[in-house]
Amino acid sequence: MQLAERLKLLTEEEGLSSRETSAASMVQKILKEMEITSYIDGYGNVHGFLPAEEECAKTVLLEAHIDQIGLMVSGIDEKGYLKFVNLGGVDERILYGMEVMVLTDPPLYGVIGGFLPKKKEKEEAKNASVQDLRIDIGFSREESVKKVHVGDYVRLKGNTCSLLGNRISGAAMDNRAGMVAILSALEQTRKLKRVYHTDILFSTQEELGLHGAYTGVEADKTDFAISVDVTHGETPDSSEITGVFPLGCGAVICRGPNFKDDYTQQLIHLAKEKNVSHEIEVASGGSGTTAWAIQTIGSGIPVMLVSIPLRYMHTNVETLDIRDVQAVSDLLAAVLTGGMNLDE
Amino acid sequence: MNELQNYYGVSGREDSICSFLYERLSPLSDDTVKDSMGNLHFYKKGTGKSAKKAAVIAYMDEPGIIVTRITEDGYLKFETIGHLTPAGLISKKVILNGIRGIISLKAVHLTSKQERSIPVKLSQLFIDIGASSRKEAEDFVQIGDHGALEEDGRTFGDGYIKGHALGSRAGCVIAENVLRQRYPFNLHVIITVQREVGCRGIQTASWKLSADRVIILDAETAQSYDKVSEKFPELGKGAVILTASGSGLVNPRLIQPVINKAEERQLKYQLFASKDKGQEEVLYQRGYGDKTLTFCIPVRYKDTACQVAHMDDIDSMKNLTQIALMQVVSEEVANDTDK
Repeated sequence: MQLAERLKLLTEEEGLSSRETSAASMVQKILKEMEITSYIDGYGNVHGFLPAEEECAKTVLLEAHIDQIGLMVSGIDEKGYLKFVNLGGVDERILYGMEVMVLTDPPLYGVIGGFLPKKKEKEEAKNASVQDLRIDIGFSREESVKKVHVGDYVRLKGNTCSLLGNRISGAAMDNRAGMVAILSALEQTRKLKRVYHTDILFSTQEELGLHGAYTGVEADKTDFAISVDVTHGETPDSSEITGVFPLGCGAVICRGPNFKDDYTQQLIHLAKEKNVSHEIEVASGGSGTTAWAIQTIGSGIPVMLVSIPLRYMHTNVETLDIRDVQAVSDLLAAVLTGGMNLDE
Repeated sequence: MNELQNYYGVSGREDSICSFLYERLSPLSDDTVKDSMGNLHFYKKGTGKSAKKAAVIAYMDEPGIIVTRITEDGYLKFETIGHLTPAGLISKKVILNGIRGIISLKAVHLTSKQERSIPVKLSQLFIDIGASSRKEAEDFVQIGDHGALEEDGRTFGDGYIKGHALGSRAGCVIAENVLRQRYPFNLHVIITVQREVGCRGIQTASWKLSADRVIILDAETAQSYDKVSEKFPELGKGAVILTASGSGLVNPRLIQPVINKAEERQLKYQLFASKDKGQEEVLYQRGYGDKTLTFCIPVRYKDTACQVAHMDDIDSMKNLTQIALMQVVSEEVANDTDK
C-alpha cells in the first residue's frame, strides 16, 4: 500500500491516549495482511513478531506509540455545556472555534466556543485556556447529563488532507507516521533476508507518560531497540530555535545520554552508506519519547531514536513531508537487513 | 442550510455563492439583475391587488482572509476580511484558489509560558500551503487572493446547526422561501455583497430602491455559557426582532403588529435592542427609517467560522418575515377604511 494512503487511513482512525482500541485493531489488521502475527496485551499495546531465518539471531525491537492527544469531559455546567480537561498536552491555543466529537455511544458532535476573556483595565489580556472554554453539544443540561458522562473522551476533528508538494496534514500524525514508517520497513524487507528477529511494539499512553512502553517492552528478549517518533518541523517563526528540522530533510537521528551512542553512530553511518537523507538531533537529557522508558527497562536496553519532522505538533493539523516517512522506513529496512554490527 | 455550506463567498469575491443563488432563485423570479457591485436583485410582480411595494434584504458574503505577502520559504502572510478573531483561526483550514492551506504558528512545545499566556496576534500567524519556496507558492497564489475558512455544515444536538456564515445563509434560505409565493404587491428581494466589510453592497443596491416596507435579515450575537454574553439573545427562543440598533430606534408601529400576530399564532420571537450597526443604517440614510424592520437569528461564536445557530430560530425568522410582508396588505386595507 502507498505510504500516503496508509497514513491517511491510520491518522483518521481514533486512538486517544488510554483508548487506543480502534487504531490498535486497524494496525493489527494491517499486520495480518503482511502475515505477521500479533496480539494485544492487557495494557492495550500491540505486539507483533517477525522471525529471522536463523534461530539464533539477535532480536531488535521496533517501537512507535499508537496514541494521540485529545480532551476529556470533566463536568457539565448548569446550561448543559461540557467542561473539559487536556488529555496529553493539546495545544490549547487551537481550541477556540473548533469542532470536536464527544465519544459517547453514539458519538456527539460539538463546538468549542465561548467568549475570550475580556481585557480589563490595567490587566494583561490572557489567552483562553481549557478552564475558560466549554464544549457546546446543543443540548439542555437535562439532556446533556443523560447523554454525556464525566470521563468521556473527546476527539479533535481533523480530516487528513494533502497540501502542495509531498506534504500531508491531519490529526494524529504524532505518531501514526512513526507506525507507518515501521510498517513500511517491514513490508520492504518481507521478502529479503533479515538478520534479526523483529519484535514490533505499538505502545499506548505515550502522551500521558510513556506508560505503554514501560509495560509493553520485554527486556529479556530484546537485544537492541529503535524508537520511531516525530520531532519538530521548521516553521518561519521557529527557525532560530535549535532542534527544529526542515520538512523533507529525511530521518532525524537523535544523539545524547538517552541512547547507546556507538549504535547511534553506526546508524548515522548506515544512513550515509545507503544514501538515506538524514539530520542529527541532540537531546541533552530526556528525549521526551518512549526511548526514555525503554532505556532503563529490566536490565536495560540499548536504544536509538529516529524521528520524522512534524510541524504544528499537538494540533489537529500536524503537517509532515511523506518523503521523511519514506526515509525513516528505508533506514529501518537497512538495519533489518544487517546494517548494524552489535558486537563492536 | 447544510447545502449552502458548500458554497463560500468572502466579501469582494462572492462568485461561488452568488452563482449558486442566481441559478437557484432566478427561476422563482420574474426578473433578475446582478448589479455592478455584485448584488443580486430578484423582482416578483404582485397579483395587482395592491399598489404597494415591499423589499426583503439578505446578504451573501462572509469573513475570510486576503493574502498580503508570500515569504521566501513559501508561506502566506494574510489579513482578515471582515471580523474574525485571531484565536479562532489557529489550526483552521483555508480554501484558496482550489488548494488548501493551514493557518498556524510554531508548535506549543517551542513557546515559553510567557508567550503562551498572551493572545495570539494576527501578525504571528501564517498559512502553510505546503510550498517550499516563494516560486513554488507563486504558481498557485498571488498577493491579494481571497481565502475562505473551510468548515462543514452540520446539524447536531437538539435542532442546532453548525457551520460558517450562518447569518448570511439563513437570510438566503428565507429569501428563497419568500420568492416561492406571489403576493398582492410587488416584491423586490435583494441579496447583497460586502456586508462584512462595512455594508458596502447595500449602498448601491438601495440607491434606486422604491419600497413601502423594507425587511432586513441579519444575525445577532447570541448568549453562550459565560457571563459576558448573558445580555444577548438566546438560541432556540425564536428570531430576534430588533427594537433598536446602533443606527437608531426601529419604528414601534411596525413592530407591534408583528408581535400581535406572532402572539396570536403562538410563534417564538425575542425582542432585542442592539448596539451594533448593520445594513439598516444605509436604509435609514435613504429615508426608509420609519419603514424598515430588522429580524436576526441569534448566532453563537460569530467571530469564528465555526458558528452555531438553531433551526427553530431560522424557522421563526421565516414566519416573522411572512407576517411582516402580509402586514403591508392589511395596512393598506386599514388605510382605505380610514378614508
